[in-house]
Amino acid sequence: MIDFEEELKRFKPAMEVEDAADVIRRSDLTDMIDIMKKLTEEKNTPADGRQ
Amino acid sequence: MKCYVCDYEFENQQGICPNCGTDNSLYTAIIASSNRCYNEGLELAKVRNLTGAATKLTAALRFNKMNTDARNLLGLVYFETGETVLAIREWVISKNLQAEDNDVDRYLHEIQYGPGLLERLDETNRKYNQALTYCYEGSRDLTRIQLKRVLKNQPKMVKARLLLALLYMQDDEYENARKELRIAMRIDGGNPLTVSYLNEVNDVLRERSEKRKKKGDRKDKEAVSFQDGNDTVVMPRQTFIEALDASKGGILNIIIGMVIGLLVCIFLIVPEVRQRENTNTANALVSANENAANSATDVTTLQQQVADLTARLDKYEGQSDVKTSYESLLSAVTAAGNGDSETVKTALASVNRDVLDSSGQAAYDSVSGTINAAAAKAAFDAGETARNSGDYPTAITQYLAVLALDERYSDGDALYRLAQCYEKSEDYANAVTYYQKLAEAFPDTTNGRKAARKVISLADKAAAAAQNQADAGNTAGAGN
Repeated sequence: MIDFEEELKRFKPAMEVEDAADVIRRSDLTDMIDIMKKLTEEKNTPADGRQ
Repeated sequence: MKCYVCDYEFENQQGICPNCGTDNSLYTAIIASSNRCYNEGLELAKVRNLTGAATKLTAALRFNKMNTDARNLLGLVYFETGETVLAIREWVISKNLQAEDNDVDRYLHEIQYGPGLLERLDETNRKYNQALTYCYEGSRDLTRIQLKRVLKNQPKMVKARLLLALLYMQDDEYENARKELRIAMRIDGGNPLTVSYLNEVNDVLRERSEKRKKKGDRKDKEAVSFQDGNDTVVMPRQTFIEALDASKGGILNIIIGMVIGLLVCIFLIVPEVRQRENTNTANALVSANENAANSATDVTTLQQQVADLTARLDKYEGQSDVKTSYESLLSAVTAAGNGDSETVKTALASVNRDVLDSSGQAAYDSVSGTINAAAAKAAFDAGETARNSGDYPTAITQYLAVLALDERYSDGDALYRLAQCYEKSEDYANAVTYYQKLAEAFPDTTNGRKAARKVISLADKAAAAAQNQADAGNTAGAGN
């Protein structure tokens, strides 16, 4: 049986257009390639910072 | 392929960059995974499983944020389900990551320059948020109204439909809920909330249907509901027999009303109508009679006119027309000049004096006067001769002919002579008559005065003669 109040909590307010800029700015665009690049850089850089 | 570290392009199958020695095999695998997720997302989008497609496309972007196709498609999926801001986000990011040769230009142009599109979408989102606020406050009716407005502007806003379906379910309107959920399924068949709600609704409706069949409870019958503007009207479904049973009293009232109406018609309306018809008929009859009377009057008038015209025509019958009259007058004038009185008389008899002009009439009068004078003299002389010889009847005839031509001939001499002839013939009545005429016409003449005395002296004789005549008539009648 569906509980109305519980289900109602799932419904969040919709974003408005004026919030779009903020949403875009806050977007995390890190992908696996970025992670892999970072790992590769860390691997190639010794702990003391020497290359 | 291009090395992800130094961007050096090479064709090494093992993936080792000859420039920097970096192992690109993992990078290659990540790219492949991203593409695979994009393909799966694309397939799901084609079958309208937009939630599943969004998940796959998001995963594709997690692998490779530079997968422009996946990002553009993700934006489309968001836009289709009414998530306008998320769609704009993906497209803007796509444009930023790949400025050249990007299909997203078309979408952004449409959003930016479509007439009032962005404003309308934003307005829709605001109304949805307002509806949600009403719902949190417990005003479910206002929420419904607002959600219907939202869906009118943005029919594909899945979350608005789901919220409306939830409200219907809460108010036990499972049929309406099912209708909304089916529409939501057609937009996004993979939305787990839609599937969940729809399953719930189907279960409840199935359960109720089975209960109804088992118990045969007619009170718990299926209701008929329909939309009337913003309201939903729910009525219990009834069979015809049930409606009749419930409305027996109503039918009886209807029958009674019909009987009363019929009686009113029979006793009030029908006589009135008949009365009116009779009145109209009587009026028509009167009018017809008046017309007949008028016609009769017209006929009488016309007959009188005909008689008058006939009488006038008779005066002219035997009379000459204008041409003939003038010809006859000419003949008469010529004959008068020759002294041929007989021809003159004959010609004048054919002349119609009335059709002549004034000069013609003057000529006629002159000629006829001349002829009449001569004729009268001749007749008077003949009368004198006859009187002197004692032939009173002949004298009377001649004197009458004179009087026919000229009553005042010789200042009443003809009258006097005629009266004397009648006196001598012992016709005292006619004698008195002509003596009277003479006395009246010429009272100051000798003959006139004599005539007046004669009238008095002969009055007794005339009366006696009249009496004798009357007695003779009675005796003749009794003898027969």
